[in-house]
Amino acid sequence: MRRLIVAILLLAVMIFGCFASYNRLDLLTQELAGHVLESDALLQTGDRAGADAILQETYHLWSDHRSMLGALVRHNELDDIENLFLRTMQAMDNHDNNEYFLQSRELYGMLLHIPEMELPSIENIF
Amino acid sequence: MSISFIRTLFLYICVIVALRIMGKRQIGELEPSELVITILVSELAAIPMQDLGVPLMSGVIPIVTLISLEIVVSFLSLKSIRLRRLLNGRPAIIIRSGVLDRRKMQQMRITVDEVLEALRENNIDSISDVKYGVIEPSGKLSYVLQTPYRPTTAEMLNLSPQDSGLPYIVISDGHIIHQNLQKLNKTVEDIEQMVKKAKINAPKDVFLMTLDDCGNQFIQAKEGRA
Repeated sequence: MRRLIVAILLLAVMIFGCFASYNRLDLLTQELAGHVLESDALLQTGDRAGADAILQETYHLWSDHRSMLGALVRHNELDDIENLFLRTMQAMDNHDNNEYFLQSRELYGMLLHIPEMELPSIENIF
Repeated sequence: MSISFIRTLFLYICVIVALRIMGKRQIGELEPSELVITILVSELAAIPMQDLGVPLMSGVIPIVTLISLEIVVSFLSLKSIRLRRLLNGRPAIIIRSGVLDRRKMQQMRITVDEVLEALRENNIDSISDVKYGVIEPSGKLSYVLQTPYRPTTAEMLNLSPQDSGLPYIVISDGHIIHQNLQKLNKTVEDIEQMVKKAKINAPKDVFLMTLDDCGNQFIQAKEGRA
């Protein structure tokens, strides 16, 4: 009986964990993607310093959550996003707006792609 | 390399705990679903061991889920005969009163060679000696012999052999196992006396000693210590 209770508890934890991890990922990546868009918007208005500050803050937020993300997401996906962050920041430093927008759009898309992989949708399951 | 090493340690412990939670079964006695789960668990554990880009949870979560489901399904099987039959199948009688049931054998896809092999493994040399031969859900052949071919028992010969109980290990590799001594209501002094009677100096010179509640004992000394 004890084993059965442990098994049911573990299943309940798994189910709760599935929803909680998706929710956490979704909130985090939405926040990161939102900051990237904010940085884009500031750069478009000519406020380079403001855009750079937000981008740096976004990168720090990303780095702070890297361990948690590593437990939930494939590491090559995280490495790709890490590289995109670095390229975007480099484009900002180089004052290369075209390159910056190119990289930031890709970064935005990759960030939103991550929780999609965790979503229990028909296409993901099959 | 250190990551591989640490992951392997972690997953090894995880698999041992998972199989321990699943319960004690010998490999040869696993039901089909249990055998599938055991194989799956080992395959799942190998994935994050080999591919360091895969999160560790990708191995742990399926293992925990499978083991939990197996326990729940086992419990439900205990309560429901229908579910048990659905998951594990029924035993099938393929030998009745020394005659093979060909129809049943065809249904089970068992050949005569396989039946004879299983009988030989149980030291039975003729199908006619078997009253009932049953293929169990695990695939094993169990049997009931015809009365004239059953092994003789003491009761048949009106004998009263000495009773025997469940043997407990009381000394293992020189160490006294106090928990088992308590079960047998024996003290360390009792064991020391028994050991001395067997012409061994001390319990630390004993490789193995077993004792049951009927007084039957087995003592083997370590090499060169008798």
